[in-house]
Amino acid sequence: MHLNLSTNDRSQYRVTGSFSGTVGSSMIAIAHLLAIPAYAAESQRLAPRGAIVVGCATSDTQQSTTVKVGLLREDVSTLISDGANAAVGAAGLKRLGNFFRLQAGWDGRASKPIDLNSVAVFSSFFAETGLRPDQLGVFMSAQGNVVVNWPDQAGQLIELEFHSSGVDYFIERSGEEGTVQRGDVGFTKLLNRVAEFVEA
Amino acid sequence: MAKGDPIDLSEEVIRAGMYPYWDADLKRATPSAFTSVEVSVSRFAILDFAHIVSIFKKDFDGRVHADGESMEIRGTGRAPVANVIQQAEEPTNDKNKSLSNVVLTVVEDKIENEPGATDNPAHALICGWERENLTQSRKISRGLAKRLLDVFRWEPLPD
Repeated sequence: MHLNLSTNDRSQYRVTGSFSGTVGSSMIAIAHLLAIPAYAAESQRLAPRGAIVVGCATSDTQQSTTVKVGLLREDVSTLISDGANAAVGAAGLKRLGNFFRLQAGWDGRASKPIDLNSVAVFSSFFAETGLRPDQLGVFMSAQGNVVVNWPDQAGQLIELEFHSSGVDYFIERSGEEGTVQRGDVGFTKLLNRVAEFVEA
Repeated sequence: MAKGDPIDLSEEVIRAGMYPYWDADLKRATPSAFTSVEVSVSRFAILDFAHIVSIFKKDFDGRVHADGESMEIRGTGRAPVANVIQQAEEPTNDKNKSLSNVVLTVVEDKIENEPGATDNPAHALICGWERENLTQSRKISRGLAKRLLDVFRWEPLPD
């Protein structure tokens, strides 16, 4: 299944000023040597005060909203691959369907509605890799991306976030995190990294 | 105190746990609740728990389609500001002793007269900054976000 739909989200940033403190690498190095909470105090003092992100709420265009509502009526399970269906199960599908109902601003100014490109990458990944983690949870990020995670054998988290150009991954046990590109090569690379954390 | 002013380390802040971040059946949340450049929190020094939650509900209940299931806040997490900032100042993990490339600050950001948002005088932001260039905002890494998730210790809202 191939989807190439854009929500055409918009972001607007306003920078109201510039950093007012003296920030040199030596200051940062010294700060690193300070113990918490002393460091924390320094970090707070160094906080840039003028750069404020405002008006970042994004919204669907009328067209993309219409597309999403239409997809929802048809049932979300028809939007994703059999592999993704099998991986997330009925409960995950229900959550995914509910994400489609969320509008811009669902978690504050900058939060976005679900990105259909993210759904497409999520669908492709599970179709192509056949990955079936036990206890897979389905979530959505403020960027409107589909997120899944599951615990490894030791109860530590593996998390994947699907976005238009690829997949961000995080392996808590090793602290490893990174991004693979969308497509066969990237998906295979990611599968090789996380497969050992999936119970047989 | 003005927008952007650092919040005292002794203060405690609360984060709203929205439906997409929390799977009640699995009793599991996602670190992506903390992976933005700026993460909204509210300050107990300004408003009490009941008042803050009432703002969360008022603000977010209107963000869903009328025919949608309830998407309202499902839980909350709370943490001292000092603990929040400290998470970026510890090694990435036991094997990798390097620090995260993100520095965290918690700053005042009261919401007043903003279209589509409920006024919240207690609103604040956890901000991520490039460690080697503190003028450059940076998205909070997922590893650091997982730590924040653990520190905030999400709990379901009482009925």
